[in-house]
Amino acid sequence: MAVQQDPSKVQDLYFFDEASPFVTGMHFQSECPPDKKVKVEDLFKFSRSRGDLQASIVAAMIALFFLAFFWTQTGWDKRKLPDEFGIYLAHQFGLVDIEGRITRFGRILKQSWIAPLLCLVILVPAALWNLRASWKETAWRKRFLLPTSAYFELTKYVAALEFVAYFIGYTVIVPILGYLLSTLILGTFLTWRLGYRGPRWVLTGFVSAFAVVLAFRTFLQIKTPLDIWLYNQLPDAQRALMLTYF
Amino acid sequence: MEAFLTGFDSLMQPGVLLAIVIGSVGGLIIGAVPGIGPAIAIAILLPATVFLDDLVSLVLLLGVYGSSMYGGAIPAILINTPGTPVNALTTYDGYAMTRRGEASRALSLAYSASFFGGCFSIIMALVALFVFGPYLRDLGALFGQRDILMAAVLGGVLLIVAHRQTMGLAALLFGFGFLIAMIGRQSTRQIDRYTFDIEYLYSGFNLIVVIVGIFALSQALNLMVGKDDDPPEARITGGLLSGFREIAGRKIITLCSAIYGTIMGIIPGVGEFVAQFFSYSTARSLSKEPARFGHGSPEGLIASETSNNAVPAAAMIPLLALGVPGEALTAMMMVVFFDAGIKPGPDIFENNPDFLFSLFIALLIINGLVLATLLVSTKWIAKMVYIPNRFLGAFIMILSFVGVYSIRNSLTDCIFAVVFGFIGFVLRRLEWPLVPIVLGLVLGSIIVERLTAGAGQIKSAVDLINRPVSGTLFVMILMVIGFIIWTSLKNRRMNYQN
Amino acid sequence: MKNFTLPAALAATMVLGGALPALADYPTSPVQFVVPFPPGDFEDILTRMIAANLQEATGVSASVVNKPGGGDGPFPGALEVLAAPNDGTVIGSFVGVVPIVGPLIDIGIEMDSFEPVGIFLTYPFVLAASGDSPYSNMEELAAYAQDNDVVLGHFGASLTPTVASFAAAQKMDFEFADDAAFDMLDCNTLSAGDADVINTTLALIEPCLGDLNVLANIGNEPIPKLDGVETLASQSGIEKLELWNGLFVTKGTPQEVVDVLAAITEETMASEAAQQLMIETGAGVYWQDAATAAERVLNDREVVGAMMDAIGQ
Repeated sequence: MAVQQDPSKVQDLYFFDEASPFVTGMHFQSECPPDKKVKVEDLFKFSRSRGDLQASIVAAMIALFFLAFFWTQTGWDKRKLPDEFGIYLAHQFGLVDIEGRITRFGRILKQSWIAPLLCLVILVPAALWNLRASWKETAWRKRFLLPTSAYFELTKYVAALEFVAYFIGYTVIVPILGYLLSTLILGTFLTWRLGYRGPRWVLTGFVSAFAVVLAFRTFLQIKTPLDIWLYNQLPDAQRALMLTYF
Repeated sequence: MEAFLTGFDSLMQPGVLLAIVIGSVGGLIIGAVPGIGPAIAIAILLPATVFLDDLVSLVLLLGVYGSSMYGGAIPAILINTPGTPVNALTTYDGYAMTRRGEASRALSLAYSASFFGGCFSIIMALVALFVFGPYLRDLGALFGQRDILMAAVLGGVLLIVAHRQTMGLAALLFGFGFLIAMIGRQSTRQIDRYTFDIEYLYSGFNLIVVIVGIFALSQALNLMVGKDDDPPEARITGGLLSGFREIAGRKIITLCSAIYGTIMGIIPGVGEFVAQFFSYSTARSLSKEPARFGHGSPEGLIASETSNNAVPAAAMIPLLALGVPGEALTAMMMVVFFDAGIKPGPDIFENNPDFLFSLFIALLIINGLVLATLLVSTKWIAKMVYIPNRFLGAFIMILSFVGVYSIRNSLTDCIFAVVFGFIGFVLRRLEWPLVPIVLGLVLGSIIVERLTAGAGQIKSAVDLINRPVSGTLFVMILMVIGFIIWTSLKNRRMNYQN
Repeated sequence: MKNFTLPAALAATMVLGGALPALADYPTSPVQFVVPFPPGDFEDILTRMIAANLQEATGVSASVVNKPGGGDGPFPGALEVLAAPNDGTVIGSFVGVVPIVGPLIDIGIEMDSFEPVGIFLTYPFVLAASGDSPYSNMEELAAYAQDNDVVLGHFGASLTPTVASFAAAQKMDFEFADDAAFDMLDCNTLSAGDADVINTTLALIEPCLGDLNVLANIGNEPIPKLDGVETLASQSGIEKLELWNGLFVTKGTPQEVVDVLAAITEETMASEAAQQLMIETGAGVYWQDAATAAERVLNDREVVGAMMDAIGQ
């Protein structure tokens, strides 16, 4: 600190009254030199957030799952490869000469396990590499006592699952109550559930849902399920009307 | 010149002009709504075209096709959800700019970039058709299954490489997308991959279901679980024409992206996704601020929007000149051509030159009309961002159902969409990139299809690369991989030295 | 486009012949035609015409839904029609492969799962090779293939024309070195060298027809448009075979559904638009009613079955 102190007035620094007027001309100087600023490249840096390790583990597990089932689920067990496949491959890449009839490479490429093989060649190493990077990062963070708990993320995931459930519920009631009614219910309910409680908001939700149905079902005639329990209860003419327009 | 005038005249009918207006504005709105894209709209409008006059139905579909990507940029920028799958890349930079309060700047950049891209490719298309028309037939002969296979592989490699800091993650998620694409059974070809004898899995996962889930539903969940933002008042100052001025200041990148979009559109089977990624990667390497890409770089925005809007008009070229559709949406429009008695192919220059002119003039009008509409009504559309987040999330969820169900009339699809939505939600919270999954799905299925179809002619491994185009692309792949290995080795050496 | 004189139209056209009260006036609810292929091909165009006419005639909304099965051809779409209720709300527009080959592969289609309403389309399938190939009919191809590799491109190994091509090859004593299934076979396939001989419909190779060698056409008669090209059957000695498309309903659908659809479709096929399509593209557009269609299915089953046995499928 470069503040000049008069030894006789030290105690007065802590005593604020008109007897010791405010000293001007003293600037606070930091030890950090002014030319070291935040670099723009840092904006681009990808930093792994909390929950990343768990997700990487899940991703690696999924990749390994598909690898495990590659042998049975992709037609590998029904594969048709020429005998002495090693020599065949060498021949394909021009290293060895074979005599006699050679299987066309295309016939191997057409088999159903080739595509999953290509995919796993990309997926599994990438998943394991990513897991390793995530692990190192988490270990580094733990070492420096940075937060690594994913609890907060989990709460958010559970919150999202609730809305997933609403959507699935909506999917289930459309064939029962018909598109119009289900959409109105979903629209109004979600508006209310999300916290927009005033009558104006609920009305807005209701009207928007109705507008969606009008625009897409009535005018554009987008396809919605045809076999609707509620409409089947109506007499024929109304049923046809509702099915066509709502 | 005569053909030009005839073509122009046939556009100036009230029915045709009305169709242009409806198609453009409708396409704009359809593009702007996540979960509903041009594919669904075109599929719905297709039956109507049987009864409408040929040119009317054609410009209606063109309007939807050409304007949906303009509209798709709006939610991509404002609420981080791409309106159409090809606007996925726009979310990276556009949404970051919105969060900085530069929403109107992002929007005007997107519109001007799209307009430039669209007009550029239309004009290039006209020039090309004039100059090269008769010679184009031979070009198509260069592009067989193996060449497209190599192009898709190159696209995948570039995608992974584009995620500099997160290559492992990008590769991992690309692999997942690839895996999802492959699940399914084709009993007629004795192909059965990972179906575990579950009936729903026999037909595999549909691209749109995955996209709506991973982008729209995940964002819906994200919004509903989070808090309502109070975004700063995004005042749309200086009109939206400031975008043009900005583009004029970045001529090279804009021009490069437009060229990429045009070229990728012309190459049959490649499409917007690869165009965007090539142009994005190039823009990043040309840019003076590569680190900002993905975090609100105007150049990134320009790169993605210019190239994806340059593709539609360019995709018309292989369709018209060779009878080969440039990508899926163009293929759907081939129906209308056949109905109209127009045979796409090299003869079209002799038989129906005025039709060609009508087509591209209509596209120009559509681009202009959409731009004008956006300049006037962007404020209305921009007001959408002030809808409280959580309410918007609920709305997106409702709209997603409509989009998903209309694909295969399957309620199970809707359930899987929301499962993917949950996965996308987890990925968003972890800040892992989402786009590689979708590209893994698209490129993966292209790779597998082309490999299987091209396998007939593959007698030995070298047949994969002994064609001019596939050989060149293979060399490029090796160069890219080599470059990455070399730079990472260099970095490691530098780190040890420090 | 919605016609609200529904009751009047219904009363005028419906016959209450022992049908259940709920189906007294068919159609009462929206009708869906399922086309198990991507949009754009002949069956799609014609089915859309049928749907539009049905809608106009009866006032009930009729739409066409495309359910392509990707690599699995028409079967996933067919299975969906099978799963739908058999009250005439979901109609299938299927190629012959569905009732013929469907029961043979183990996916849940039985011999009697579908009842034909009628057949309205024959695809103009041909075997084509590029113009500079050293063969221009089946005999020359057979000779060439003895010592050289010839690769066949087709739409699927179980599809009738493909089976016919393999059977013909076998009869003429040569072998295709390899074959590949494609989603789209057109001029580009040949010029890019993805296949040496392709098995495709005329419409798809229309733009370059003049530059190709059409080796044979797969049908009962030569196509008038193609000069000097003989049928595969006559050149190779296999049975006559063609690929057709018809309307099908699930087993147990009431008869009047079939009658109404048959009437509308017959009218549609006789219309100018449909006939024009036939003249321009070489496809066969006609109408064969349910009885004829059923017979045809049985006949084709035998022929195709025999061919598939012969080539070992």
